[in-house]
Amino acid sequence: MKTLSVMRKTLRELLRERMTVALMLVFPALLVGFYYVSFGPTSEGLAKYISVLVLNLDAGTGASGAESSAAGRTFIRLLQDAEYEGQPLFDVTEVDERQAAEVTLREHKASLLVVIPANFSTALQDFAARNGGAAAAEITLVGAPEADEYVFARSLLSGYLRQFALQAAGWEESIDVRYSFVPGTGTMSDFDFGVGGVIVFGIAFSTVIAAELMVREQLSGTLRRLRLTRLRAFELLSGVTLALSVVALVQVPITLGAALLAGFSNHGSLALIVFICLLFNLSAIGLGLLVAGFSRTPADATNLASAVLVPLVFLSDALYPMPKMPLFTWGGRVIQPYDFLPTTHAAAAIRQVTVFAAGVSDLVFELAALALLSVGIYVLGVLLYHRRKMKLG
Amino acid sequence: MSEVVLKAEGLSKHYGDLLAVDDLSIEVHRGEVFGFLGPNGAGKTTSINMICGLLEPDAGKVSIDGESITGRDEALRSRLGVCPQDIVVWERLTCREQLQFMGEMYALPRETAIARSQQLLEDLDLIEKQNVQARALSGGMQRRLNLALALVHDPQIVILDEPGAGLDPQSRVKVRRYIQALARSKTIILTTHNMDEAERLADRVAIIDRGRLLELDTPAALKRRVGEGDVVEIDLEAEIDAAKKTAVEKALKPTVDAVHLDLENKQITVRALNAVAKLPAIIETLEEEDVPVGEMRLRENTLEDVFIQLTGRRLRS
Repeated sequence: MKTLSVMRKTLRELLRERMTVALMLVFPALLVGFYYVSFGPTSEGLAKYISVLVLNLDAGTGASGAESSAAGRTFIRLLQDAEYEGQPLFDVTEVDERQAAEVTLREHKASLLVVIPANFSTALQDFAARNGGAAAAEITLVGAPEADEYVFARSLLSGYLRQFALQAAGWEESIDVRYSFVPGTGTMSDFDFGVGGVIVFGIAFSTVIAAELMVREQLSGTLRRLRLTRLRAFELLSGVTLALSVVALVQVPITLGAALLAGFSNHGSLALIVFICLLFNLSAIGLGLLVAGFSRTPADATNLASAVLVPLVFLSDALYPMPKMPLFTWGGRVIQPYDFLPTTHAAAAIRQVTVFAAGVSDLVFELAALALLSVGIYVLGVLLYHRRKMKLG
Repeated sequence: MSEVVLKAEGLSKHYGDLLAVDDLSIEVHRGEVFGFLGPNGAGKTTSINMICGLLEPDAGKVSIDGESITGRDEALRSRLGVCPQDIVVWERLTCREQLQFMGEMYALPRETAIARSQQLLEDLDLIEKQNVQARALSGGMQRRLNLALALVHDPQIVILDEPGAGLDPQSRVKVRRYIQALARSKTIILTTHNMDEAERLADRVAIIDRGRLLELDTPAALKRRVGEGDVVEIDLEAEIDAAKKTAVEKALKPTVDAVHLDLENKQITVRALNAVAKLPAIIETLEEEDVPVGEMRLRENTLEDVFIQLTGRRLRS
């Protein structure tokens, strides 16, 4: 089968180029080291912008107009009005579902979730009426304790809670605060959070390698030789894709191994991580083919591929959380510009697998988005490369 | 009449406003070496690209054994093997790896690809370098590998684009002998700037310029018909005076194209197409004029003379 022959030939060529081998296999492992030094457990960064999710279940006191005067609503307004140097202190978002909110916390897209229980107003009312002789109202703060912004948000919120309790019931003790962690996040560091992104970064180099391979094939005239054999674009490009997938198969365990040596704990399935990487690899190769379609020389390919690679990785949510830039809501999810980058979904999916032991059923959105983007980009790359480099003139 | 194996009819190709190939029609006969000559930019490469299916003609068609070839006709196209002028090899594959790979690309069974590779490595003196990556080969070896890659699928028609370019004399002789041996079983289309090579190898020669076919014939016939002609140098055994010189020039004019008498060196130089055939008439004329003829030398009209006559002496950009 021609595709397999192309794969074998491409692998031989790749493995005989030391620089390529280094770039594909060693660099991602080194990147893990850099990332460990920068964001490992000793990092002391502070969140500058605190995003608070609120799940307000407060049913009020049952009296007329209770909804508007419910204590939960008043507390939310207090948080919304809180200011520091004239600017809002908290970015408050009300949510309807705890599970979805916890996913947002896991992804470090919010600092904290405040859960206000259904009996919040009545408990406060009773506490005030009995002069502290009743049980205190409870409020739960949920977060991922490894995140600096969680700790910061929690301490700030505690102050506001005391202030609110005093105002609402005359006693600071009128509200008990319970702390709850998102499952599996207790010992996670920013390093753990970033390893998924680093793995994706390594795979993204397929863009550069694929572009260079294809441009070199054209420039050396061997593409013309292959065209004379009536080799179809699909056979050639699928062979190259298979070869780069084999490289990814080797690369992912190396990168993950380097991370494990640095103290990273993988709680999920290696097979699922590899599957996600292979899916993402398709988009990286597709981008490489797009680059090759517009390049005349290897230098063009390298420059253009780098220009693609940088935003692909650094404008995504892969290596660090991006600021909120909501575009629209779709299927209950807020879609942001970086949701259109496959890197975002690949890194998020790997993170969920490695940190929270997520399975396929937990990753439906991320996998669907990644598959859609990857297949789309790959098909576009194949079509463009065929049109510009392999079609009869 | 020889059997036509490849036929191009009315091929034309434009690149924007430039007409690269203009209504080109040729017939290549089975088993012949067909020389395809033209100056730079004459349209050779465009024509060859259309013939081997890399380029779609604006008009015209190409057929092999009477069957019109289309872009994806794999079986028909694989009857062609193309050896490009530039060295086109995979630098990081060994000689054997790339021959077998090309065999697989031509859909040869694995065993056949291995056997053909072995044969070509032996025939082209590359067997000792079979496991060496192409980038480590000398230029001559790379050229031979380049040729082998065009032959691995045992094509019926082989297109060789400047096969002798960049070769040292030893390698050139080796390649030439290989082409001559190849010509016993295959049809060869040879493009070259080396007129000596074309003259030695080609059974027939097509000369094209500005996309048009100017001449198509055997080298011998072309040399007889086109060019400044053969050169005949005749030494005189005695001096002749100016009046005799004028008389001799006048007498030879109807027979030859140009005549020059060098009285100081006692030599007559004449140029004429097919001078060998005209030699008896020249000698007869000189005897009639009572000119004492000594030694005679003949330098034949060359294919280069024909080429220059047809395409001009000006350099092409």
